[in-house]
Amino acid sequence: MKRLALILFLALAGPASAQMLGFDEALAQYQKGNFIAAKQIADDFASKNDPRAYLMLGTMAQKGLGVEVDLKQAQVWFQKGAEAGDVDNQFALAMLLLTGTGKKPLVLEGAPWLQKAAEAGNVKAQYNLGLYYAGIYGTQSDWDNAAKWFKAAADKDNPRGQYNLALLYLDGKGVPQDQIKAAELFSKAAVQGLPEAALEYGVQVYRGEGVQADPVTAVKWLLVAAQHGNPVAMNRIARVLALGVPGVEKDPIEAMKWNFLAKQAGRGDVELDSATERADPTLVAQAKQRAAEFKATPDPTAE
Amino acid sequence: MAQRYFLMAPATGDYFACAKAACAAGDCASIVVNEQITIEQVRGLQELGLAVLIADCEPRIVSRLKADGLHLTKAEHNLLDLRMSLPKDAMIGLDCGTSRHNAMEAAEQGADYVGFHQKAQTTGEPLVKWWNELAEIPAVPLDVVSPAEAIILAKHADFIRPSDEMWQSAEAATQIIMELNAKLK
Repeated sequence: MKRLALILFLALAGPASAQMLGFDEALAQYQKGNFIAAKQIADDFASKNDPRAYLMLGTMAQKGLGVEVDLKQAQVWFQKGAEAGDVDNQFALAMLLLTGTGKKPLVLEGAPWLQKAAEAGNVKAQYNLGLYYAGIYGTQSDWDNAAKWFKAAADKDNPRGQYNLALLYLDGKGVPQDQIKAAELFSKAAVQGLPEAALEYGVQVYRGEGVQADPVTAVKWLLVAAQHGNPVAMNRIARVLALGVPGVEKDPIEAMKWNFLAKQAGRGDVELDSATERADPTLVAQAKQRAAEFKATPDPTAE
Repeated sequence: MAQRYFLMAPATGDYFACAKAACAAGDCASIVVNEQITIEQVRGLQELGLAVLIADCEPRIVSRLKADGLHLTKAEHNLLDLRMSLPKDAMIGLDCGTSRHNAMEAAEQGADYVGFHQKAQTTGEPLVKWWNELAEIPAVPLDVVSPAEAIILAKHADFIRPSDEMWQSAEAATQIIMELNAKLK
């Protein structure tokens, strides 16, 4: 009898010791990819209404980490956290609803949560609320509000917020048209490594739009975007190197290399192709070799 | 219902004189051109009253050229994503070939028109007829049509694409548009 009592005591002590581990241990297990262990701890914290646990369990259900993908269950977890006022859960819930838990995205249900999280100062929510107002989720574009929220994110140095606000400045959507402001914002996002921004800034510098024209600097930025595998940048850099610009020498092999890569990425160029056909076959072979060895640099701003 | 003409510029050559003649001869709504066009050429076409649509380019190029929209021939983009990089009020159209699915999806994503290839369709009612009974945005039959074919299509379509012979000379353009005008009256 005593023995049985001891076993019972140990069994009951099990969850209690997990709890003593603290939520950091759940995070550590999660980051190591030990989702079963992470879930055990998180379940315990969830039973005590800890929003961090809701977020973790919801994310696991959403992405199928350690459990089957179950978007409805993910929604249940995020909703608990969101209603408790936790901003991260509000953002997660909003994005889940906006992209859809079933056949159709639940845009109208998701937007108010995004608004709440954005107003509470969550940068990702601010940027995504900008996209929502731009009409990315199929609602009528509201450029004034799009600009407002991209600006909120841009002011906190969010590169995508800066990039999108710059696009609005170029077209005068929700803000007065202003190439100088656009160039400033593109350059800020480009410095942070956003490939699209490097491309746009490179093009603006090349054309002298909103910034002093400078082919050498332009090529530098186009090359950054091309190294990240941006097909348009690959095409532009191929053109620049095929023709040469002031301060930048022609480089037929590199031009052909970038044209091969751009074409693979879906951005063919009839003129450059025909130049390749006329080129010295040994140079073409070298260009092909270099293209085969090319490895795109990952986007450092990717989430 | 009066039909308007939907022009598809040839890939090369100077087509401005032909476009000008066509606009003088009939009600031409828009012209699809490729991205090699210059900003001055775009403005010239716009001054004729045409909406200038750039075929299959990066959305930023529409903005740089100050064109009126983007004409896509591949259904690989989410049209909603493109809105961000296009000028305000830019039109987006998608050439859907014979795909009803692509057309429905494009309309859902806010396309301003869908294009169909009527002649590639071998069975069933004309796609533009089916489309017009179902959707609000216009369908453009993108095949070139003879005046005889235009009469059949005119019952169902808001736009007609004239024969490519119109790009041979300004006189040819005038003649072809006049012939269509007469048949469609």
